[in-house]
Amino acid sequence: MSDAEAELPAPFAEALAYVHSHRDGEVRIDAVKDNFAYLWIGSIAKNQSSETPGGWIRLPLAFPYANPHGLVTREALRSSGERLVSDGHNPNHDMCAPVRGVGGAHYYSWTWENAPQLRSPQDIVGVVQWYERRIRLG
Amino acid sequence: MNTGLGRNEAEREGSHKEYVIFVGDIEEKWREAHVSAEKIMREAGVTEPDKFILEALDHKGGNPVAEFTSKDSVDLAAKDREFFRITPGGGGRS
Repeated sequence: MSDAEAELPAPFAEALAYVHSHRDGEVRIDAVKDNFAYLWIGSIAKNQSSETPGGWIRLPLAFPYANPHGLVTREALRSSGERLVSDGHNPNHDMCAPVRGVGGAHYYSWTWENAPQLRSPQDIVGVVQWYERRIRLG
Repeated sequence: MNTGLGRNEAEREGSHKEYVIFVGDIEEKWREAHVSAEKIMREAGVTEPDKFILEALDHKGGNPVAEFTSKDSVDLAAKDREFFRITPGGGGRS
C-alpha cells in the first residue's frame, strides 16, 4: 500500500478494495491533487486492438458522496472508426500534470452530469464501466 | 440427447422453453424470448432502470457487444444474449 492509499477516507478505501477484487489488471493510485485521486485502472477497454488498455480516472476522495470528473490517458483515444475521440479531449491539459511523469498526456473532461446518483463504494465498478462506455461512444 | 437449442435456451416438458441469462452474477430465467431491458434490469435489482444501460457481453466478464436502454426489447434467443452487465447512463463534459 502506498502512502497515499494509507491515508484514504474509509469509503474511498472500501471502493478501492472493491475494484481491486472485481476488475482484472492493475489498480492503484498514482497521484492525489485537489481532493481528487488519479486512479489507474489497467483494464479500461479501448476501441482498437492497437490501443493499450488503461487510464486514470479522476475520482474524488469523497467518493461516493462526490462524483468522478475526467479521465487521463497516455495516448489519445480512438473511436471504433479509428478517428480520434474529440468529445472533451484536451491534450497536455494541466489536469494531466499529476500523472505526466508516468505518461499521462490526454485529458477527457467527462462529467457525471445526468448520470445516476452514486450511493455506495461498490458503485466504483459501475463508474469504470461508465468510462468504458464513454470511450466506446467516442 | 442433443436438442439443438442455444446455450442459454433450455427446453422443459416439451414445448416450454426457458432462457437463462446472467446479469453480472445474478441469474434470471425468462419464458419468453423477447423481454424488455427494463424488466431485466428491475429483476436484477435496479430501481431506476431509465438511468442505466443494459450491456450484452460476448462472454461472462467480457466485452460489451450491444447495449439497450430501458425502452428497448432484448431478443434472448439471439447470439451473445446470455451475459449482461448494467452500466450507469448519462454524462456530460466540462
